[in-house]
Amino acid sequence: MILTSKSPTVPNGVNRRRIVKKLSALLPFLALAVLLLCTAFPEFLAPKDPYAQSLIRRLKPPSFLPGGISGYILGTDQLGRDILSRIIFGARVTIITSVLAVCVAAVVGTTAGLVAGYFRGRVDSAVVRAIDVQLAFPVVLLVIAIVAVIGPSLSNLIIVMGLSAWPQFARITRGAVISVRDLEYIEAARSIGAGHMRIMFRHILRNILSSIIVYATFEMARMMLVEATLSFLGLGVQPPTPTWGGMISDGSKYLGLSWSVSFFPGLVIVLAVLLVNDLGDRLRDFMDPYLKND
Amino acid sequence: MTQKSSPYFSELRADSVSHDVVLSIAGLRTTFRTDAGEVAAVDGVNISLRRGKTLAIVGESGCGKSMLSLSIMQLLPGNGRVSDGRIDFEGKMLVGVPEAEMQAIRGKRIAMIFQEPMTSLNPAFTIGNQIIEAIRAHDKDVTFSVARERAIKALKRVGIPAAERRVDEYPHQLSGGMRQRVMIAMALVCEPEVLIADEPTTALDVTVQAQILELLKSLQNETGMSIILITHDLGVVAEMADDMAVMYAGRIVETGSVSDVFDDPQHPYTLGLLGSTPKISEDAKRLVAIKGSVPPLFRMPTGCRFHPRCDFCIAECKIEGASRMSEISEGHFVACIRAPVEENCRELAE
Repeated sequence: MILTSKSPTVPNGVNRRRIVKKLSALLPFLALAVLLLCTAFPEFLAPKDPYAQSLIRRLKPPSFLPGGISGYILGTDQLGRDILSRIIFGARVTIITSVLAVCVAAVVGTTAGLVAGYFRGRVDSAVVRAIDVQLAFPVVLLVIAIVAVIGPSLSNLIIVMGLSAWPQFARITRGAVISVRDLEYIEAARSIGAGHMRIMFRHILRNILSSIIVYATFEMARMMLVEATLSFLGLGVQPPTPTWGGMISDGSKYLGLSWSVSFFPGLVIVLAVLLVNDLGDRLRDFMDPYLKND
Repeated sequence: MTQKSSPYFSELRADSVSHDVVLSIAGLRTTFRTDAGEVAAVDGVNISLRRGKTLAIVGESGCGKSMLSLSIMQLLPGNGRVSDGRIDFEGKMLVGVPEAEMQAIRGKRIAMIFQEPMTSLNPAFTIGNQIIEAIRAHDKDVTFSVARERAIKALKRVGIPAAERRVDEYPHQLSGGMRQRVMIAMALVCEPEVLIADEPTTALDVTVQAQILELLKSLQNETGMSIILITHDLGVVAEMADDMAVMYAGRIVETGSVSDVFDDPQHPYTLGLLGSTPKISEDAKRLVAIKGSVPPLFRMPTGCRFHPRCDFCIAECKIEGASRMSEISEGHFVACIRAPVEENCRELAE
């Protein structure tokens, strides 16, 4: 009786909850689309010129707060430049450097891990030693040292960040290779006359690719933080090119006068890193065959 | 019964039948580096495979039969190596051949199928792709579409229905029997002269076993290939093989044609194996098991390795040289000093 009387309301509640759940599932993809659009076409999205300075309207609060100027939604920095436009333009540097750095790390690390795990023996010991040595250095410190020596250009930054992250890839790949290399289908591949290269880069790599891709996503989030750190320290892409880390650094000198100069780029970094991590989680669930039942 | 003892048995044999021998193995010794020192999994094996015939290698688990086949393919695990002996394949010595040359032989001229069809196919590729790979590994000029056609033809030949559709399926979409057919298609797509089948039916249902054996037999008639069949199933041997070699603890103890060995087994181990097989024709009796178990590799008994488990053992069996091969009848060799057991040991058996 109770059940029947309640039943008409139950589906409604369930439906509403389901719709909310679906929308929240879409949210990160929307955010990702916005981020990618900012990377690709900042000119069209930014409301103002990110380089246009004006000492009259410097350090203004956001437009929705008292003292804000309309049109400068997130306020202006110490040179009177529009913060929102600079954040939009800053996405490009962050995304490009972190994506390319992860690519460099993935290629170097995966190759090293494949070779080490496949051949074992001396090659393996050498690679594992190299991994241990590099992991003993704090990544940021290492990158700072190298960038300080060879100079902070965009390509240098990408290569150095990439090389700083290869050991993790190598370790993950090596472990996965070791678990796959003695399986029967690898032996079967050898028995049809496949060479080492073919077995490593076709048979083994294809089977462990999903874990590498998932790890690459998480690594991407970390690279965004490293990039922001380096920009904050002035070792990243040089001014006047807007970068999120650089903006925080600029604003930190004026924190007493205006909180918004540092706050919004910081918020964006937090959101972007969260977003990429969330995507990594989803990707892992998607690629894990054991979680595919639902 | 004439008894010709000869320590040079392999050469004798090779001389007499060399014209139709595809693969001959002489004095093969395969050793493994372990913490307990170097142990020999295969120790002085002599066999020869006749063209277009099937040679069965029989023995219980751990007797070295799989290591023998991996030695031929040179796919031994990292700590193993062929430390002595010859493997001659069509006039070519395979031991010590450079890896690149061996790769050209593997799959192209000597192919192999494995025990576990469930795990022998790469789960990340369609079966078509894996067969195409086998084709293109040996002939880079074959275009993808031609190779695909050949793959479909190969699948049809091993009796896979709707091969045009199946070619794009992944291994997990196929049953065990179908996967073993795919493995066979993959092994035979380059028309090898020798096929090594390492327990090809052990992991399959009995009805599927019969189908796979039937398939292998008809493919052999079609292509004229020679088969080395590794098995512990004497029923399969009787069904499939022309010649057989019984292996015990890394050595061949008896070899000859299947009818010779089945009808007139000479080595006590062969007698034991045959005695432990159930027969429908006889009244139900308790099966005779061979007492004891296979000695561990690093603690092999001296002399004949079977002597601790043998009912006919005498003092001479325990000294070196007791496992010398002698020819009991034309082409039927046995490594037992007491052979022919039935004549020499009648009083013991009774």
